Amino acid sequence: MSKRLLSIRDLNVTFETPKGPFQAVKNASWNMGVEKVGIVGESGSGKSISVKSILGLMQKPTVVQAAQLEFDGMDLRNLTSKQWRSVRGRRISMIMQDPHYSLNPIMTVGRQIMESYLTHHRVSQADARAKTLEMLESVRIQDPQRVFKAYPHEISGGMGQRVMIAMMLIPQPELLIADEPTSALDVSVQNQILFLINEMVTQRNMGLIFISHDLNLVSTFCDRIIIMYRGRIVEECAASQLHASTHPYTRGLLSCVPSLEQKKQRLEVLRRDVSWSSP
Amino acid sequence: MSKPIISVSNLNVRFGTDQVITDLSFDVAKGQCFGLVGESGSGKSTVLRAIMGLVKAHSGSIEVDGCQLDRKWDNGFYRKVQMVFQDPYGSIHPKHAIDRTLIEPLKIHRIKDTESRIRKALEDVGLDASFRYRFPHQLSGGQRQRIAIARALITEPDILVMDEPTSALDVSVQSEILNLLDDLRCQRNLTYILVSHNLAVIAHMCERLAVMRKGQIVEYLTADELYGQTAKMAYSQELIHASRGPQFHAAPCSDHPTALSGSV
Repeated sequence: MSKRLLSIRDLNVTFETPKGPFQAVKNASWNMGVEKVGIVGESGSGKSISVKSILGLMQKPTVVQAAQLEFDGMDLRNLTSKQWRSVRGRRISMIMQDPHYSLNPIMTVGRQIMESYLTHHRVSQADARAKTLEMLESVRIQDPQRVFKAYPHEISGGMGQRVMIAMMLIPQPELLIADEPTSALDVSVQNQILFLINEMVTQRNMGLIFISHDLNLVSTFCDRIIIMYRGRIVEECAASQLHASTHPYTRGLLSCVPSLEQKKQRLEVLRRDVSWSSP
Repeated sequence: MSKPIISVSNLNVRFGTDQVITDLSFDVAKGQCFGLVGESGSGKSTVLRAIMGLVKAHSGSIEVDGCQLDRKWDNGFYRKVQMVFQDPYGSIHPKHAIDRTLIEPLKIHRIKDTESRIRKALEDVGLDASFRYRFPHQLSGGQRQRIAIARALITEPDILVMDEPTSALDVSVQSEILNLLDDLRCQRNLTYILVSHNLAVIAHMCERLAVMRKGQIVEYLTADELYGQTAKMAYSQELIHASRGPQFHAAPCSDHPTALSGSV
């Protein structure tokens, strides 16, 4: 590991509900450098909440507590909003699940990418425009000039996700968080987007946190995998060691997926055990 | 094959001037599960909607259980054929308790024994009777999809038409729902038409399937051919290859070995 990017120790996230506090993330800890880390779990396991709290996106009355929450030596726990602005987007950026929800529907794609660049760099409009076109080309958009002028509803889901990637990478962040970036896409497009993210992250020497509920997919893609269940990290292992995992939850997630390799008479069903979520 | 229970021949559907389905034909035998796979926009959902009478066919014939579709299906049809939709969050009325959701089809078809039917339908999908008085927002995604299946089964249909029934669910919940659908088919000798973009799901559930692209059927396959990878058409082979997931370790990231040809 070349450089320590992120250090998290005992992250706790608590929601206030009418029935009393609900702890969505319990004592999560992990460290990462310039590498690809996958976070896997079912819905409600706290994977999105964990990364949103890293970025300081959880708002009151939700309580985020951590013994340590550091990004590249900087304590993220008590940043002012001004300090946050120089981190979010500039140093850590995030790709969301569905591009059609997360892009601004009444602004052209090109202007949105330019805005992302201009927010963090003092350059002229013309330079930003040139940079945007170059970026669109590098995410393999065939006709950057046309896409620059298009509105989000005029482009396909796969193209929208490419635009998102372009927008998130143009300020040259050091850490990219991808929250289920391909689950709204077709399998064929999904592979292209994964290759693109992989290529971009490798080329630019960035760290990646990749959130998914598909353990098999993540294991082909990431270096290390964190498996969450009900707000707790139940297992952490190298992707290459995944098949050797003995945790019943991990095994369950791996085996409940229908496969194209061989016919299973019956799919295995995950038998959930409450003890997994206790320390 | 015995006489097919569903028979679609030379179906054409147009939206305005757009031809979305072109000369599509397939047969499904009773008790079989037939799958339709394809990418978004290939017209798989439109085929289902045409069978259900939700979109008008331009030409061609649709025959279900000996009856020919003529502009509109009668009420009796919808007692025999029911549909399960993709998104359990969108397909159940958010302000109706589950009880009311389940009574609705019974009212439409003037079925009397509501009490016992509702209890049985919930039992069939593995939920206990207390769910009757809950609202959709109090249920998880998997539980909602079970309710959607219970609603479809309550009229005791022979045929279930399903549009991506598990794509909005976690893989762990998906396996529960697929097992449930398998069991119900065995118990009641149901016939399924299943649409999905997930080839592995189709391969697991169906005996026969059709690969669709741009409103046409590229190839008919059996599940064994899918497992044995003996698809003949290039497009089906590519789709099967892509479904196996990206092969990062086998190939360098510079080229796109599993990407389908054609721009995105």
